[in-house]
Amino acid sequence: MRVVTYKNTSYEIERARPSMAILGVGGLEYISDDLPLGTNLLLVGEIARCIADVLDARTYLLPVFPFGLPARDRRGSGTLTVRYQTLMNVIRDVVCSLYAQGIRQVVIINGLGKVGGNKIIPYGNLSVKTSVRQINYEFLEGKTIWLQPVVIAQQELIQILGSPKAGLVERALMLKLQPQLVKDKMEVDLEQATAVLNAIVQRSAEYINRTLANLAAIKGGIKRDARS
Amino acid sequence: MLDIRNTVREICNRRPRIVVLPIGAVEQHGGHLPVGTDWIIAEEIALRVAKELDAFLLPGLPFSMSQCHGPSPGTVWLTPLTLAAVVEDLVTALYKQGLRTIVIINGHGGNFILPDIVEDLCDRYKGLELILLPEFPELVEYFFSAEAAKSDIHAGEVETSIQLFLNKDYVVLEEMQDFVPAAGREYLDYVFLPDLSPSGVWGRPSKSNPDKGRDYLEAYVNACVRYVRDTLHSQAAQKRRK
Repeated sequence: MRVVTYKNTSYEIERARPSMAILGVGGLEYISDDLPLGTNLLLVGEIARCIADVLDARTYLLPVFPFGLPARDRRGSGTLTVRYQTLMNVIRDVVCSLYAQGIRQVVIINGLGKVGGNKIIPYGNLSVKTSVRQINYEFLEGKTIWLQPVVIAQQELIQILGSPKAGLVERALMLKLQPQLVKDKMEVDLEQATAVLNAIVQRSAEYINRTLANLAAIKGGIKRDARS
Repeated sequence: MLDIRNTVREICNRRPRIVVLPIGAVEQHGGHLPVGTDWIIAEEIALRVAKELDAFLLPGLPFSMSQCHGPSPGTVWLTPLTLAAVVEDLVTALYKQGLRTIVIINGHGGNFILPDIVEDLCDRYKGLELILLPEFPELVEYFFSAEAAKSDIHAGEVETSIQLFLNKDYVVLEEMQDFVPAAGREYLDYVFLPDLSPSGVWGRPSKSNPDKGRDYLEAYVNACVRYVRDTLHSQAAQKRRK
């Protein structure tokens, strides 16, 4: 078994010896009138599952933590969030519990991100970055990284969708993954939606592999330097 | 009932009175039950309770205070103050939106911080009706046995019966083994559960069956719904007297 989840027993997880865990951080917030409150939560969960399926590593796919920080432009009715210090502590506790059982690579899918975003400052949930950074400074034996899949794949998404306006990527992904929950399906067709999902999953998996390999090389270099 | 599949507009239009928040756990459950057992069961109970109460069902919190299982494979924990902070933040967010009646379905027996945070929030937020559903040991005794009510602590007859009813495919029958440690439950304040039970089980899963799980689940949900209604009724009566 290469990918284990909450549906597996402790014994099965032990036998699978996962070297990596994936934790999604979702969000409950208004996206648009036609998309459900849980759009980000549902999509992060599906994308995390798809990414786990294409990675080479033996992976423990965790349930998505459902709540994120309030986005500046999306406060208001229906939005259900936690404070920055709470999210930092959730990330820290989860990563520490994974490190304690020998899983030393943790990937955090920090919401979806947006086209136009970057890999330095996340779009929303900034405290995930802060928490990851602190964990990596304190626990040198592990590697924890974060990413926002839409940011990683944005060049390809622009090719597929043009310059997508706010909410279009989410709508495309919902059309592909949760079509019964999309009330307005006219802006994107299924072929585009499939291409959007594939791009996001493939580019994210490549990014994860590349980043972890780079980190291993950098850490190896640091150890060699320290010895010489 | 409303849930995260509804749009914000639908939720605003319906103005649900009651919100249901399930709290689960992802932790070792011996060799025969999935690590997500507490989360799965809490979400199922919450769904049924929310339907009965026509409530707004929140997504279940998957992680909680599971450090009592130590670094067992698959176990993921939040420390007590983190769990308290998550509950506080969510209740605060709901309260600010005018949602004042919140029911917590606790799927993990080790979340000993919850009564404290519930009491604290009720003291601080005027008009908040935050209801932490209790355990109903008399139901365990009725549907299972007096012994189960006393010694069925983890991955035993009760949880296995419910999981057999809900998701038979998740149960690994050939790995099922009974174990009741000689030490009492109080020792969990000092050591990890696998230190007392090498298999991670505390109870007798061999006595489980899906029918008992179904009957108990139905009775438990009914008891929860009754408890919420009674609590709201008595609180309303208190307000009228004031």
